[in-house]
Amino acid sequence: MGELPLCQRMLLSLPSSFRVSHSYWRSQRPLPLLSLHLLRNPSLTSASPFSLLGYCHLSSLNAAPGVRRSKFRAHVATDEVRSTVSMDTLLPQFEAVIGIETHVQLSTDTKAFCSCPSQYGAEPNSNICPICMGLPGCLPVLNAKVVEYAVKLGLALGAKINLDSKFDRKQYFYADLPKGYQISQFDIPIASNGSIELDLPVELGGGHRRFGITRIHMEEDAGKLVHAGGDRLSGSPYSQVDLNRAGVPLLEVVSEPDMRTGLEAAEYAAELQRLVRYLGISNGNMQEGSMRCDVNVSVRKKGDEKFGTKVEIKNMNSFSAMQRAIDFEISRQVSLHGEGQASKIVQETRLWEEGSQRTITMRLKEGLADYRYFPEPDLPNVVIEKAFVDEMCSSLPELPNEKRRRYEGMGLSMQDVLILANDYDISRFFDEVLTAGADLKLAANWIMGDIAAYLKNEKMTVNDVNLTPEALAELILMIQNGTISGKIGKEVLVDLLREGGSAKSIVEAKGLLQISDPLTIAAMVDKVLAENPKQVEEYKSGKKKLQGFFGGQLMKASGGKINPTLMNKILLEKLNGN
Amino acid sequence: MHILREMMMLREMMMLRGSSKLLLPIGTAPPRHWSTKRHMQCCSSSSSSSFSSPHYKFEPSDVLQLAEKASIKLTPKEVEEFQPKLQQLIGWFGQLQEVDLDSVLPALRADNLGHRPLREDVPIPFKDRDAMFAAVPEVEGPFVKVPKILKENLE
Repeated sequence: MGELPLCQRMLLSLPSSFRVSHSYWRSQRPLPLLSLHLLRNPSLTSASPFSLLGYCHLSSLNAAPGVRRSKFRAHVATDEVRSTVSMDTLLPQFEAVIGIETHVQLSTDTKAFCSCPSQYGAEPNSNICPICMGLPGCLPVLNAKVVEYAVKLGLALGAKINLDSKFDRKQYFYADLPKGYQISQFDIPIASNGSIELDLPVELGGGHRRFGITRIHMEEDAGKLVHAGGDRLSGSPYSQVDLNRAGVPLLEVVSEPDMRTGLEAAEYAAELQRLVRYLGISNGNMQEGSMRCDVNVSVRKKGDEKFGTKVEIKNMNSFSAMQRAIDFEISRQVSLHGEGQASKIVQETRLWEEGSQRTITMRLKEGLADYRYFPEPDLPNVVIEKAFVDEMCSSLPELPNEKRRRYEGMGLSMQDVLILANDYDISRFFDEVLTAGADLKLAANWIMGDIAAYLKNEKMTVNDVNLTPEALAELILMIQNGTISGKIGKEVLVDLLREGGSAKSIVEAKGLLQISDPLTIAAMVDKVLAENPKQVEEYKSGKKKLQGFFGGQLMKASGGKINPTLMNKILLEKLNGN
Repeated sequence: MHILREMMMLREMMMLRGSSKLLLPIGTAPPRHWSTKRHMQCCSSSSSSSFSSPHYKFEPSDVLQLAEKASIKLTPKEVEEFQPKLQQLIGWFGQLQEVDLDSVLPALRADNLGHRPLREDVPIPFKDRDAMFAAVPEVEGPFVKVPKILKENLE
């Protein structure tokens, strides 16, 4: 993988909860266009396996830890390299248009229309009732929390809240949908016309973006299909259904087709995840399926107004996969244009295959799906009071973009801003450390450095540790005013993380106060010099780097408590003076 | 079985796009605030079928299309049987279109639900879960067992 830039290595050392969007996939080199071209044309790879000319080794596809790693090796003869060079000149002539539909599973205690518990990971088919089983004769009743969460997200996205919205039935036959229809919102969603603002990662060029949000609507999730007899959809002789998820509330967030690259799309999703986590309305976990993104991708010649034929991609369970899937799809479509086969781009749904790192056809769409929407007769309109919206508005926390702007204004680098504002709990902790009087930059460094490393090692979040913001602020002050050394500070920090308490009490109880008395230090220096006459002689005959040896001895003798600046000053005086 | 099929067909009839005037629940009188305009908006966008005219002649191909929506198979004989029945239904809905609605305010739906408060987010497990699950036609362990998935409807 080669040597990563410092900033990326730092990011990699952060705990998992801390690097929602700033870690794995940014550390990956973008997939070379050539490899995409090859994946689409596997025949090329077998052209000449032993050819050294135009040899190309494609293995920069590192999946997230824990995910199966896939590597591709391709040996390409010179001809093919030439043809991909034309691909490289082709790509800049095109522009991708990307829109995203995101399903956010709400972290309510019950389902959307019945009182069944909605927790993740329960025994299959344990949380079911006649309403979510779709039995006849029962009446759905909307969960008040769903409306509250929908309004919160709508407000956070700056959308217009529709005070009178309604539910509709979306009809389709599928085994995970017991009623034969999904209760959703069709023509009057609860919120519409919003936008989301985000900052692209500095190491990838940075930049501020604003993407439009078309609408946000409430709906229910379907059950979960387990395909017996193989994981490929087509290979199953029959399917198993778990209806625990049927009726769990979702918010569908539909973006405008405003994104142009895989990176922008992945960042959009990351920001949406950050937002729902800040709001506390969903855990936004993509691996568990609590947040699912369907991406629509089309390409057009730059300057064209008309959109190309769009292709939908599903099945991406990380931001990294999203970015790679989109970049692959863009490249696939552009190369079809390049070959004069643009007509082969058809409206279809493609699945991202993590194993082979490409998209494959799942099903073709023949015209618009006929869902035969009609108003849900079992549910009254969703009527919201203006006062309720105002109340929700005033209960919103500081949102990620506001936080980033504030941190930026305080003088933090964008790199630090992005890391600190990425996680709500971390940013709250950071803010509290500042409130307790700690220096801005030092607080940022301690949190992004030692604390992040500890959290990562222990697989904990900042909420799980016993360190209080006040104790960290106190520790930082003690180092700043020389009461303890930075080295001792790191030790005290570990105690604070494990045991809690105040920095001062730990320092006193362990006798870790820094030795800063010149007379005491002088006595210690004398003792060390007396104990090492041979080294003193060598130093005096010119082996000046032995100063480090004496420093080491003094540190050891003092248990790391000696003030290093004073120590060096006195040590040099003694060595050079005598 | 035959009754079930008729019910499925009727259900599909009611859901046909572009046939928004068929949306009225069977057996209920036209509600006070009935409006066709708003319904047209929310159920529009298909031009594939236009059964909305009361004078529309219902063809066997329409019956087949309807059967497909309902995911049922019909024999040629059944298609023949259904055709006049469905034609008759369209006639009934055609009659409804003659109601004068000019002075009626647009409404989203039949306003017969009254005021119903929203539900508190408090879990109450369903007590008869086991009895309900015992009625599932085929199970496998804790799962409901279903035939091979219908790929063309994959959502």
